[in-house]
Amino acid sequence: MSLAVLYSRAKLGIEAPLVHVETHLSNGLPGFSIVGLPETAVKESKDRVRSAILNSGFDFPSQRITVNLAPADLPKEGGRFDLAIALGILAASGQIPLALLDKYEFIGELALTGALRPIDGVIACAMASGQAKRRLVMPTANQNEAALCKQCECFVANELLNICRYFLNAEKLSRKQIKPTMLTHKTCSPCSPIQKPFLTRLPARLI
Amino acid sequence: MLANPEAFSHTLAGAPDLAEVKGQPHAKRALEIAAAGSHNLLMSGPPGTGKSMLAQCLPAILPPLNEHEALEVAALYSVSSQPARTVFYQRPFRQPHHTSSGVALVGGGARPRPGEISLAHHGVLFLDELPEFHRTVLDVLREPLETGHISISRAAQQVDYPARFQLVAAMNPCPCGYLKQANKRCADCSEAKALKYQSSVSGPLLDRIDLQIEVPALPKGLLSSHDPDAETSKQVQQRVIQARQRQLDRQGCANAHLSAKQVTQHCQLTKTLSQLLEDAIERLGLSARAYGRILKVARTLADLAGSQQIEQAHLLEALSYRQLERRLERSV
Repeated sequence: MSLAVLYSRAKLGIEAPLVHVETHLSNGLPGFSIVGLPETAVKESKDRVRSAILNSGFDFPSQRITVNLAPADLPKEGGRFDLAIALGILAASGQIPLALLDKYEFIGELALTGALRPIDGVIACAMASGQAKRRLVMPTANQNEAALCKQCECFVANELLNICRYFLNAEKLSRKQIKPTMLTHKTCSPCSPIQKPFLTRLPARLI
Repeated sequence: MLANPEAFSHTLAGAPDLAEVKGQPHAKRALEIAAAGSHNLLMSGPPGTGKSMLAQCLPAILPPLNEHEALEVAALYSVSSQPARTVFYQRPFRQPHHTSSGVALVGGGARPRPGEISLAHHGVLFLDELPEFHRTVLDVLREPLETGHISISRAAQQVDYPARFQLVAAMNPCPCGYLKQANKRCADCSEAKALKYQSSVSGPLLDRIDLQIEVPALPKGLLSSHDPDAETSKQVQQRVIQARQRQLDRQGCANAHLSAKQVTQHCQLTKTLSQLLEDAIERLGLSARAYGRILKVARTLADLAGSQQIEQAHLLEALSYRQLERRLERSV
């Protein structure tokens, strides 16, 4: 399969509109282009994604890569789409399974090492993903913010590799019921206001 | 880091307690009313009388945020790349410097970001040294003060940020600060100069400030005295929470946010009282907006007193909080 469609979220005021990150690998002169009104930080994500994929031990496909961020007329800013673009390339090139990716949304900026960096506007993303009934995968550094939104099922990770391992094990997971150790599964239980500190109720991080 | 007990206490670290403010019973009363009904407040007085300290006490006597409000505030902080809030249920308190630009206050930029008024959503925007702000900067606050949100339109995108803040401002009565002080030299501040200074706060903005009070210099001997019975912020907050709860039960919002229709419904006056108010409005030359705002303050006073109906005492007290505007009115 040379096409992958993942979900991510943009930032517009205090809203977080859904963005489809479509990645297509085709034959031709190797190249990498991002379309869909990306501003500078998004265009630069090409270099971050390439290095992050290579430094996480995966292959960067030497094919013609086209990434479309839809809707095309919504301005996209910041490094928040890095994670979705990287996973899109890995899924389109068959290095991680495509099957479960549409149950998740991905936000996070990548470092060249493959580490995940925090982004802003996570609460709005978490609320929107919760309403869309999808799980949200995000950098560990943003977990405190996401924890405030109780209807969202959030996963946090430190590195791109952790997330890839999680999806590579996902098939085994459903059969053997192995707990994912690479990711912290963090569902916020409803909290009563004021009296009880809700942040302390989160399960401790597993990694 | 997560189990930070500070996160759930309702007092801002380092903020003073109301009991630490010496004297100023009148100002403390006004602060309590402002907290109970979410009214805007302007304090005018010579330097060093406790205006800023009083304003900093306000977050601790305001009712805590409910969960929905707290999430809204946290979301705004999250999109503006501010450090995450450590006190989740505490109402935000923003104190921008008087050199701030209009965009810094209301938000904007090529890629729009929330400004100070949005970061003060559901909380307090404190403008110290109000006349030192540029007049154009202050006047951008007019619309959001009424509507509770701000629409920022730029070529690339339009965004809408919530901005339901409570404005608290402090100012000196004249450039040197010591107008009509018996023991201080007010060097060359003529009455006209003082009025010019005061009128750098525009009429329309003043019109939107429900409570305008004077914070006079402390009488002799009060500084060294210690009042063991001084009320703490916690005690005042209890009364404020009760008064606010009455408002929420009755109309679902704080008195300051009542719509015109709700004002006629919930702030009914007896025939004699409405006559009294009409006379006062005419004699003081107040606007139709001021009429509504006086009614809202009177409603808050009744709520603080636990009274169903607005009484004469409440109305008169509400009228007494319009003094600065009146003084400027007289000078024209």
